[in-house]
Formats: sequence, C-alpha cells, structure tokens
Amino acid sequence: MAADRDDRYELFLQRFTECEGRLRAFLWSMLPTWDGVDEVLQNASLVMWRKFDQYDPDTLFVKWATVVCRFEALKYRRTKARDRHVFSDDLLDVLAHESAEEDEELFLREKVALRDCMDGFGDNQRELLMSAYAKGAKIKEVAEAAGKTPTSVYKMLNRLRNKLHQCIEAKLALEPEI
Amino acid sequence: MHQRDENEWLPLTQDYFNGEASGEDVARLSEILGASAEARAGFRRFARADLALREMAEASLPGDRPMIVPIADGSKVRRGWGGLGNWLQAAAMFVMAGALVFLLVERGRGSGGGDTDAPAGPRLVQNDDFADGSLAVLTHAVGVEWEGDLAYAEGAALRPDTIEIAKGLLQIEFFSGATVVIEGPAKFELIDPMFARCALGRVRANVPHFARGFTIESGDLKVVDLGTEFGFAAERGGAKELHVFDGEVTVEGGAAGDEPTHLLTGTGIRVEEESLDFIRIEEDAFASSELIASLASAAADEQRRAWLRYAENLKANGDVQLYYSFDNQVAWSRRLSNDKKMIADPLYGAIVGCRWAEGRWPGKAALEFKRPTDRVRISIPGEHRTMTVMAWVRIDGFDREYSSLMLSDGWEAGGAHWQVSRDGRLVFGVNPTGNYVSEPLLGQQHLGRWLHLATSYDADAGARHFVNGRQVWFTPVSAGRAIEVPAGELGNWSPGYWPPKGADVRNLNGRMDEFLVFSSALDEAGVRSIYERGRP
Repeated sequence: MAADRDDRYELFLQRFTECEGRLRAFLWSMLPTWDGVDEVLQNASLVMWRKFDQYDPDTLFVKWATVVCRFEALKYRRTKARDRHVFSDDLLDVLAHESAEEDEELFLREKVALRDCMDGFGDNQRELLMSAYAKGAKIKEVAEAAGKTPTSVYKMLNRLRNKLHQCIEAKLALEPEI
Repeated sequence: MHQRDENEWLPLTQDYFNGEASGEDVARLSEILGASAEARAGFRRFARADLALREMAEASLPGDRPMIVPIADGSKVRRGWGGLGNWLQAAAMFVMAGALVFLLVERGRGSGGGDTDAPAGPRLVQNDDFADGSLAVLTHAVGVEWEGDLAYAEGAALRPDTIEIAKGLLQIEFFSGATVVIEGPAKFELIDPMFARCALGRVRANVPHFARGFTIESGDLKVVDLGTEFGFAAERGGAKELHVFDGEVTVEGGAAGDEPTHLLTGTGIRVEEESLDFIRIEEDAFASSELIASLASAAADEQRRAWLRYAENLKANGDVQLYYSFDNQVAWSRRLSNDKKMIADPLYGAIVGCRWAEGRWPGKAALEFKRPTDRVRISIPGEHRTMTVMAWVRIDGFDREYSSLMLSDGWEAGGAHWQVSRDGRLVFGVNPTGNYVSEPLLGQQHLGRWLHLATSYDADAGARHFVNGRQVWFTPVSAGRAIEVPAGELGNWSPGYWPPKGADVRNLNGRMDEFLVFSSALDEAGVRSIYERGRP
C-alpha cells in the first residue's frame, strides 16, 4: 500500500509541477497580489493532493487543477480581498475555462519571445523594469528621491510594458521555429 | 455608438496589474473582456508576461521564492528571503532604489558619459552573505595571479582585507557604489565601503555622486574623489601618479601639502619623494571597466571552448558511467541528455520542475533547483565496488538538514546518498557500509559561487571527499558493499513514503551544470585535473 501511495504522489507531483506555471498565471489574472497567489496556490495544492483519488486520470490534470484553483481563489477573495475591485464570477469562469484550454506550445513560445524582447532592451530599461517588478519595490519613494513625479516614472514603465507587449505579439505572429 | 479602440483593454490591463485601476476601470475592463475573446487572450498573455517579469525580478534578489507544494497538511507557505534578516531586505531595496535614482539622474542631466558608469543595479546584492562585514563584491578577475593564500572567485563578497596580485585585472564594486579596476602587480587594502589603501598598482576609480568622498590612501598621500572618475598609480619606487579624467578630486599629504588641493578634469600630478609635478593625463594607461568586461568575456569563452574539447575525452572515457553536461539541451525538453556515448540505453535524466538557468560560464546551461518538487530522476547502470560522483554546483542556501546532490531512492542495500548537511559537511553514505561525513567545509562564503564537488568510494579502501580539486576528507573502508542506484535523483530525494517529515525534505537550493559518475575511485590528481580544466 505504501508503495502504491508513493507512486500516486510521484504522479501527483509530476502533474502538478507540469502545470504550476499555468495555474499561477491564471491566479495572477484573478487576484493580482503576490501573497494572494501564493496562498491560494498552496491551499489549492493541498486540496488537490487530498482529493487526488477523485481525479480521473483520463481527463487533463490542468483542467481539474484550474477548477480547484478557481474555487480556492473565490474563497480567498471572499475572505481577504473583499475591498478590491474584482471581476465578476462569470468572467472568471470564462477565463478559467480558456486558460485551461490554452496551448502548451504557445506558453513556451511566449517565454522565448519574452526573453528575446527583454534582450532587445537596453540595460537601463531592463533594470528599470526589474526594479519596478521586484517585490516591495516602491516606485513612489524612488521617484520622490529622484525628484521625478511618480506619474512620470509610471509613464516610463507603461511605455516599456507597452513596447514589451507589442514586441511579444510581433514575435508570436511569426511562424513558430520549433 | 462610438468607434471602439480595439486595444482599449491594454491600458486598463496595465492599471489592473499595477493595482491602479479604479472600480470604474475594472468594470470597463470586465465589459471588454466579457465581449471579446481576442481581448481575453491578450489579457491572459499580459498576465503571464507580467508574472514572468515579477519572477525574473525576484530571481535577481537574494532569498528564494516561496515554495508551493503540499509539504504537510495545513502548513503555510514559507515566504522566502532565506535566512537573511529584515535589515538585509532593506539593504537590498536600498541598493535597488539607488540604482534607479542613479539611472534617473543620469538621464536627467543627459551626460554623454556612455555606459561605462552604468548603475550598479541589483547585481550588487548577491547571495554571498554580507551580514558579516563584507564591503564590496569582486565582479571580475581576469588573468590574475594571486599572491599569498587568498584567491577570490568572481562574485565573491569581500571583507576588509588586503588583496595582492602579481598580475592581471580585478574589478571591485564597493557597496557605496564606487567601482575600482585594479591592474597588477598590486597591493590593495579594503578598509570600508568608502575607503581603501593602495600601496602598489594602477587603479581606475569610478565614483558616482552618492559615493562622493570615496578615498584612496597611499603612503602619506590621500586622494578624495568628489565625484566621477580618476586614475591612480603607486609604483614600486614609491612614486605616485594621479590622473583626473572627469570631475573633481582633492589630494593632500606628503609632497602635496597638508591642505587639500583641488584638481579638476584633465589634471594630472606625479609625486616623487618631496617633489610634485603636473603631468599630462593618459586615460588609456588605466584599464577601464569596459576593457575588463570584454577581456573577461573573451577569457570565459576561451575556457569554455577548452572545456568543451576536454569534455569530448570524458564522453569517450570507458570509466565514465553517466555524463550530464547540461549543454545542448532544448529549452522545452524535460529530458536531460546523457552525453556519455552509448550504444544501448541512452539513460536520459528526467527533469521534474527544475528550470533552465545560466551555468558557470555565460552561455552554459544549468538546471536550477529551488522548490521541494524540483529534481532530475536518474539511473546509474550496474553495480560498483568503486565509484566517483562529481558535480559542478552553485549552492544558494543550506536550507535543509541535508541538501541532496545525488541520492538513490529510499535507503536500500547498496543505495548511495551524496549530500551536503546544513552545517556544510559533505556526506556520502552507502547502505549498509556506512556514512562518510566530513567536517564542516562549506559555509556562507561559498553560497552563490560555483563549486566543484566530488566523492570517490572504494569498497575495499576508503571514501574521499574533494572540494575544488582538493582532497578534504578520507575515511578508510574495508569489505564495504557495492553501490547500486537503479533509481535516484539529482538535487532531491524520494524517501519512499509520504509525507516526508523534517529532515526527509532534502531539495537542493541552487544550480547544477555538470554531473558525472565514474566506475573507478579517482584519486586527488584525477579529480584535480578535471577541476582545473573545468573551473570557471
């Protein structure tokens, strides 16, 4: 029995790690706070492991896992994030469904495109982006210290994000190389 | 109805992920997303890119990501900053804030300074522990011949100490933001982030405005930078030169007099015993950051090519049972190729969870082990009375009681467990022959650096541990058991039951970019020659 359980766990780990990135991205679109995503994913992974017996191996794990994540995220939102502006449950259902259907190869191409586009940026631009994205980074404080308005720093960042997004879209529009 | 901007979702999405969206914005975004599958696809892609950027940003900071895995029922997410204290987080943020401030100021004044004084950026904060009084980071060492016992690897955190080199170039970045490029022969003493002594050598100092006051002392001469860049040379005979390339420097003491003399851009002086002469400045006489960077990259390329040639021999070596070079991998593949040329079973490693990262040279691939789920499943063919396991690893933290290098599944007879303990001991165990545990060899100073670790086992002679090509431990063994690893893991352990408790979680926090298994017990000379050829 122990060995059986062990195999099950191995299988679970494999399945879970395979789609962790996708689940994380889905949760991020649903409740864009870093702590929220971690907590929900942690809870969801516990639920998945407890209910792994109920998972039908003939269906895609990621679909099942996305459903669990969506449920846990709604629960989290009800208790912790009541005051935030959030999407309707209907929209989340659609997003959950579509993100579980998304093509794995597209994910990989996106990652490659992101790296390539980042490489195309100057060092300064990259560092600005990284500084802004680091956990706990306070653009307002930094902007103040530099004698810039937070708005102008945000504008710079938004321009960079736009550029990055357009670059990724442009690369993905090309034929895949693999 | 007015013409809808088909990209209206984009600015709203940006605000949404910045946490800047108003209730109205979110409602509008919901409406657009609800109506358009195309906008939803863009939105989800944006979310993924946004998350990837956050992960990248976090990867460049100390500490690890929170780990997501059900480690025990009801357990909470561990939030990662490793063992670093709060003040250190603050320090990291400060350095980053500094980088950004500098960036903005640089842009603001529109100087034509080029990239040579690019902001130090988050690079400054490495995994090296600088809670212990470190004050600078060694960012480049090219063609260096070290004098004395101390040799630092690139990336090492430097404490107050005297650095002596017979030749070569060093680049040291002080935590104050000042950067010096030193050309040997040199004797350079680090005192604090704003203060150094130079008894010998040629130094080019680059001092951003917030490190104003950075001082180099040499004999009775004191050079204080009031911003930007100068060259300083101390010759064996005692003569000294100061060349101000840009900005303002004061000099005092000895022949320069007791009062500080201000020297501006383009001024050079030569001090010899009691005399002081004005000289013409020579920028090219002092190695720049740009030069050292290009030399470093050329040197790394050359080493890497030399290693690749040598690795071909290893692949063909009959003693080599498994050889994972981690190179020539396809990014999306979850198979780790065995480079040992074999006709029969190719013995792929199966990558679970790990991500590809940079190895010990630019352009060399490594696998990054971070989460308790990350591992590479492997199998070593045959039974071995003699064996050597060898790996290039970068340990980022001693997070666990034991951090796995290579462990056979469970703890079966003939199984082998190769790991590092929390207190820095190399541990090699063969069931039931015994555990061969070294003294603590690795510590905070080794974190974040590439290390060559090897252990050889001879069931009829002994077990030896090697760190960076040197034998550091030996325990005699007689009539030991042969090793069998039909199933095992790099960077993790499957204990054979669930859930693992305490010390049973043994995931490595770090990277690995080469792993070899030999069917012979290599001696120090054998291990060292491989280390010497493969060192970064």
